[in-house]
Amino acid sequence: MSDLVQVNQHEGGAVAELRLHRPEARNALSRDLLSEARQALAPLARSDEVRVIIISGEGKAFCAGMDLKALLKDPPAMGELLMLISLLLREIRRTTKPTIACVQGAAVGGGCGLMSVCDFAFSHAEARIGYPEVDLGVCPAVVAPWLVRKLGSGRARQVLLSGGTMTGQRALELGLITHLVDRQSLEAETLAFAAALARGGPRAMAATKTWLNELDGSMQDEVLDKAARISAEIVQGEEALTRLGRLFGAGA
Amino acid sequence: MAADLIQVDLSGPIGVLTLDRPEQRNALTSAMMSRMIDAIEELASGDSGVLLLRGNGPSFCAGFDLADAVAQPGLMGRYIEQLGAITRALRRLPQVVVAAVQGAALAGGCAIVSACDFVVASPQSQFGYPVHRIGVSPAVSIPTLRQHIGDGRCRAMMMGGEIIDGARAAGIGLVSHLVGTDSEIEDAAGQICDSLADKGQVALRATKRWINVLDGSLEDAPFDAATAASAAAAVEPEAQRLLQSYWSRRRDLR
Repeated sequence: MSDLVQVNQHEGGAVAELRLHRPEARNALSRDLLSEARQALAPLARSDEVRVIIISGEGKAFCAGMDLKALLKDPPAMGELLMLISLLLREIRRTTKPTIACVQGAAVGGGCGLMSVCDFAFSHAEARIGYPEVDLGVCPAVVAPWLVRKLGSGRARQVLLSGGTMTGQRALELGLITHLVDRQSLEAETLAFAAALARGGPRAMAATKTWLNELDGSMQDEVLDKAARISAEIVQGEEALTRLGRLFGAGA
Repeated sequence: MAADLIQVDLSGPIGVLTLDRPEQRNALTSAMMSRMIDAIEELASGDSGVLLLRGNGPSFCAGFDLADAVAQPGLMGRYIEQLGAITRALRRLPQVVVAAVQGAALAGGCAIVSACDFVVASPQSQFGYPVHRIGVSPAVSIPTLRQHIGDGRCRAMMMGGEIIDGARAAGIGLVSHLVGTDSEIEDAAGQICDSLADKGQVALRATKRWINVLDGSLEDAPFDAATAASAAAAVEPEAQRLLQSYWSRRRDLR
């Protein structure tokens, strides 16, 4: 359906894989990629055939995060991009089917957000995972509500205020990923787990996930909208533009 | 004097607040807590990017000064109000707060730690609330402790009175950075502060503030209720009786 996102079927269609396909940019989240991902996700979420959704990325890295370099040229476009990410994250979370992130190499910033809203995340010990936003003068407000739910607010605090990235091993200890496997068997293990989940009763699974989403505030648009506005405000500020300019070697 | 028992240096990019009563394991007097509250307020409007909270001597902080509380009935209630004010102010401080915890962080000391964003400790560090035995309720610490260790573990830690070591505290999320020995804590905490001071300060403050919004840290009601619960228990006759009895047993042991 598009160039930047592919959909693959497994297990006779019971397992759908939504694959980011922009390997030359480490699957950085551009406006086009985000739009295509949302378009690709919608029919999978609606389908009666699809029982489980895998989110994956082509190439060496799962996802390097927001396309910040492109944004430096057009800071006001940031607001729109952050809202697109925010919408994609909630749409992934709100599908009533279990979702699994298959994370090789790196899941950074917004990419780590994609991983964090999934119900399960498979990765390997050497992967670099995390939220280096504050190092760049950027505020990870969009992912914060999801992370507070996933890790508890104390650990979310530590992860987001520390910046940087961590290993897959540490991500497992913190609860950021659910399964740590060998790099070589990552795809196979993810698929095997997805196949096992697909055998569960879809109505029971949907009821469980819907109830969990209600309990933990995953349906609260107001908070998530506000998060996107906070991130947009900080990223267009002087501090962020200076630091990003330095990073990408451009005068900001 | 209290001014001597708390050292405050807010001149640099990293503000430092030091408990300096090492021979009493930095047990908190009312005057010390007043000074802490003032210093935190001063820091909030200052330029420092980070606050390092530390204690001189073998222990970070063993809790309230009980000798004063035994001598002055009613003082325990004031202690609790002050402790509640400190935990609330640390959690809401615009700057990130790092605690360096060697030895004991017990009772009020553990409450203070629970309000810090980062906690550096070693397997020799100790955490806990062994206070019901002196008729004190640790409820004042609930709003901040539960954010770090979750409701179930908070319940057990509050009510059990058990003392846990630094490794266990790291396992449940109270300690963010575990180092090998007490002697490494100071350096590790310093490095974390340096690293935080290098980050985008606007982004860092916005991030802490947003997490505070998300986890209810800016709501007064939970803090007010928790402080009131502890303060109410402290004025019960039971509290004064248990404290007196504990104190005389302790003196007999010497």
